[in-house]
Amino acid sequence: MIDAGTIQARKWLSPPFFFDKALKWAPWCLLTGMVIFIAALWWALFKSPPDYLQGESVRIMYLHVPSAWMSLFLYVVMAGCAACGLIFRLKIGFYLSAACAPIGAAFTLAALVTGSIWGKPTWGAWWVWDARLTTELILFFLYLGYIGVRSAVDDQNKADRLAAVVALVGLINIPIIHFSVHFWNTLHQGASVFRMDGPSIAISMLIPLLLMTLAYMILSLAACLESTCCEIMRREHGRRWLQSRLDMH
Amino acid sequence: MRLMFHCTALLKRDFLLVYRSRGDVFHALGFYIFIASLFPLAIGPDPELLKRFAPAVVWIGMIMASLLPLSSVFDADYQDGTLDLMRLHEAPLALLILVRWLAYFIGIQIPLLLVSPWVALAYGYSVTLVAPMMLLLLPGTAIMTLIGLVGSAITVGTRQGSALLALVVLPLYVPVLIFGASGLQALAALESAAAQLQFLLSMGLLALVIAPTAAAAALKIQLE
Repeated sequence: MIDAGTIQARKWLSPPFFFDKALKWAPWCLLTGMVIFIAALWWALFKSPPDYLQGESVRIMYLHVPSAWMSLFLYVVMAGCAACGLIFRLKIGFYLSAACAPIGAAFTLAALVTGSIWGKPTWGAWWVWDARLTTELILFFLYLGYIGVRSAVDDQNKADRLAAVVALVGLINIPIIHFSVHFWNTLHQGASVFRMDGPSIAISMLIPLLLMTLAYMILSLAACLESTCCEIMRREHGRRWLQSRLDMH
Repeated sequence: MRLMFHCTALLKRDFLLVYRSRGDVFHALGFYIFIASLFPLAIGPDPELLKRFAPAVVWIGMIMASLLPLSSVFDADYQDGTLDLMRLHEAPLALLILVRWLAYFIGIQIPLLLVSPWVALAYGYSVTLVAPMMLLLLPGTAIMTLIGLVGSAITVGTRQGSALLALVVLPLYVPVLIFGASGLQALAALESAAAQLQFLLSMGLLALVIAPTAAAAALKIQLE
């Protein structure tokens, strides 16, 4: 009693089919992502206006804000893929989730580092215990925990599923952590000090920001596909379908 | 009825195990007191300053000390096959884990809780605040041990289990630390800590539902 849609989905999510498609698409994603990235970078560095308060230093925002968005987004994707793997017993879900983790961790680190560099001229300190920074730091630890569990368990299939539990528990906790960190910050110091412009951002700044986010998304998709292929090759090592494809190349 | 019988039998067994390995409790207690006595050596003996640090020391010491025994909660049961039997049992594994947690909490966490008033008093916390402080610590540490059991279930049988446990569990302790410590600070400033207590209680209810389920899921994966 399996309908055609399920069969189609099963086919798409089977490692051989995914492997073929991912290998084909990854370079194109990389190319498109790079083109948009360079365009967004040009827009951000030359075309968008400097901030009237922060001057030229505001331009790091175009790297910082998309990184922070991606770090959260990729955690949700990672946990979602892991959940699919756990619930539907989809191997590809685990592979995708494993591929997302280091990329997400890298974006988190990028957000922290660019934030720190941006913080020095604007706030006068490399690091402040601001709610957002702290949430980001804890998110980084959550990523490390996930990667740590994956690498500490010898049995790979076990590692997949245990790490999925870690990712899901983390996913439930992220809103609570986010909320409590905001509570902590507003209790101890005025919330208005580090407030950015919020939604009242100028359209000339919003366009490169969104363009950069798009570039980040496509680039992470490319990295994720490549990395999933590596994971498939590592895990499905010795399978006949994989061997025949490797012989072809 | 049968379920109750099985649970009480398990509870008795777990209490006995905690009692037999009571050295663990003393290790944790000693560690807690050590940490608490190291802070003044680093900060200096200024009473005003120490009073401000009291909530932080109580909570961070509690977190560190309760991490120690957590790493081995399921170790023996995992190695000798008890967990396999628990999994095959008619009662859901999550329920059995909840029983395990109860024994662990009463046997190991309550002694730590009983020491914390003395730590707080040594930092100049006023005596009248001890009762409300315990009221905050009780749900807070309950959540911490519940989350800790999930971490313990995930890391049982892995290499460098305790370091991994800290990495997995500590980020999840952040909300408890924030609300718990801010509650103690509010008390010290003679304000109401009802809001913090309510947050802790609600998080506790959530943890009570999710944590045993997650720990059971992790243990089932471990046992495959």
